[in-house]
Amino acid sequence: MAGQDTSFYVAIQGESVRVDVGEVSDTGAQFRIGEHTHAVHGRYRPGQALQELTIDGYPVRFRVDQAGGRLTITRRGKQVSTRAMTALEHDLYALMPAKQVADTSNRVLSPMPGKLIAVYVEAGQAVKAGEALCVIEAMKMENVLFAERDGTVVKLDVSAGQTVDADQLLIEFDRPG
Amino acid sequence: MPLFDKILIANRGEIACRVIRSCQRLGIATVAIYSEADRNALHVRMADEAWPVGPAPSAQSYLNVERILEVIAASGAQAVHPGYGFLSENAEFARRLDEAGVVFIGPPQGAVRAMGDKIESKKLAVQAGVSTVPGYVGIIDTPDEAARIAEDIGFPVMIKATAGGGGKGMRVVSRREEMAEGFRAAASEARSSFGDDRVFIEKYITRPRHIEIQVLGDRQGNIVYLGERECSIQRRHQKVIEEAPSLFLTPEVRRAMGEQAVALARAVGYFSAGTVEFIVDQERNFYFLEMNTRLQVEHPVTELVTGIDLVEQMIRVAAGEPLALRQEDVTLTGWAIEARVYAEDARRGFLPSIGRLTDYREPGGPGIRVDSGTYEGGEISMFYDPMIAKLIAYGEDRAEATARLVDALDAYDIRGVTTNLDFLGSLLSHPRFASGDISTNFIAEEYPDGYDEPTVSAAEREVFAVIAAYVRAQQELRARHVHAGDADSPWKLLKRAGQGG
Repeated sequence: MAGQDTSFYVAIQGESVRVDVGEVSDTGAQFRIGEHTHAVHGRYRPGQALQELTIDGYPVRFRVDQAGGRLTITRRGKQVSTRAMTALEHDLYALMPAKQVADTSNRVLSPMPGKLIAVYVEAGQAVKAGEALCVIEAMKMENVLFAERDGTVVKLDVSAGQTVDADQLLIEFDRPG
Repeated sequence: MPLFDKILIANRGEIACRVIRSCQRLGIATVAIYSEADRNALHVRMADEAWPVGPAPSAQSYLNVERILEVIAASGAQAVHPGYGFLSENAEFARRLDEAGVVFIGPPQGAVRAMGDKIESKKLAVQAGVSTVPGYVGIIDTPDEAARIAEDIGFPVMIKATAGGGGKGMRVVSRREEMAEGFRAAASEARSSFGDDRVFIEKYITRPRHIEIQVLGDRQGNIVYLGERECSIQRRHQKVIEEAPSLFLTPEVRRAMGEQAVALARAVGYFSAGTVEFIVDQERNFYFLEMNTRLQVEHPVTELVTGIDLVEQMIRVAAGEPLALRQEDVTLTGWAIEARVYAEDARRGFLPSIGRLTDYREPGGPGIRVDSGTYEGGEISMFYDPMIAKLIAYGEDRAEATARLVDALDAYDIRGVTTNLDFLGSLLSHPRFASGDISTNFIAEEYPDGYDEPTVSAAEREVFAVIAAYVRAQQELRARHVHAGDADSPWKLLKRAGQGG
């Protein structure tokens, strides 16, 4: 990779691992992490989920899923999300604002696709934590959804008998004062 | 004696495909039934003929006895294999088949009835000399009486509601002083949950293992046991990993369990394939749990270590053939482990995941068997069990079988639905699984907060980092090739030759 960045910074589980890149061809590459050198052989198959390489002489099979610059790698029952960045990307990435997560704690979303077989609450009703809200049937199993905390139902868009999608809004509560 | 010309399989999914495969090998024509949701399912494609039996919900299709009987008559099937679940233990269905002169490929109905009742089956087991959980089968009225009985059988004990189920109305009591409160709590929970506060007492088995014995009998009264399966890796009483043999049993305990299982089967006049389930404590005391009067999901591990096709045996027995093997012919060779591959999201509390399998490729290789009922483009629907396949690995020993199974999990390509493949890999790679120190509490103990992204060791992190770096390096390389490749682009060549636009 003459004239290019010679290191990647790989973010894994809150750590940043510096990987120095040596020779790269389409059938292999040399890497160095700290004191360790690693030899990779094998062809990367773009667009395929399953990949097979030889790393330091050992066959390594794994699954990759790529989304939004992140590479999720699954192997031996362990699935980790990684992001391999150049030095420049690594420096810029540190400046990115943390993504704000919207507060959805007052909304009950359907955890799965299925059929609503019972709705126990109605709009305007006060509900105590632990109270059953509704029952969704999927895969022959009845799943009861319980209130996580006290609140009042402000919006109820669904009724028993209806089919619902995963993450569909079922019930909205008032926001805690 | 001739076997059947045509068999109807009253089931769907992997088990229907599994039964069809054995029929094909035996030269028997097969009839599939399907619901509207399964119109394009694999079992429909595999069978020689297929008949619709109703809309998607099981109650209107795979449990629709009237319609299935019509199909049997119209297709001319001489026998029915029920698989597991659905109509496999339905007395009414078996009776109607009998009336119609069609053979039910399964056990006699008297045995199914006797083993279907918890109290009756336990009484029969005691009479047949089968070891049962020490306890008091009668109703207990007062905490004092409960304490006296508990001292007889030894603490810890479990107080259980007679009407119980689903963990309600159950209390473990470890000491005499806890009895009053435990008794009150169990009775009150039983009253509020089932409207019935009657309770009984059983010895509580700490860290139990679930080990079951496969039995096989013929209509002539010969019964053999085909070794054990250990199914201790369970999640909420659902088996997840099964293996044969069990690392825990000594030859003496295996023989004792096998002989008691045969004695119980004999006591109810059993024939065909059946399973006697036991729980086994840490001292290798074993206690009868229940008998399953059907082919079980996890039967392949027994087939791999015994070399016996259980479906074929069931068909032969149903046709009236005597067993061709005696107990001394049964040997256990090597090791087999099965993992149940489910369309479920282990990170969201194991919720079922449904959808179309946009990519689906099964692993292969030495010792790998995949019992599945689907294909690429197939659908996992909300109407049925979300099991995609059973992935089974055979090896010379447990370590080899485990290694092959873990490799096969990594090579199983499923996209379109979320699967438990990585959770299964996590279980099988767990040091406690490798050591054999397992019990039915294993998953609850080792994954107390459910399953999440596991922390990786420094060495594993390096491997993941190398993989991530390699993928990135290859993508950069490809990007450069595409640019460099412009020099040889046919459009440029055309231009140079003066032919381009």
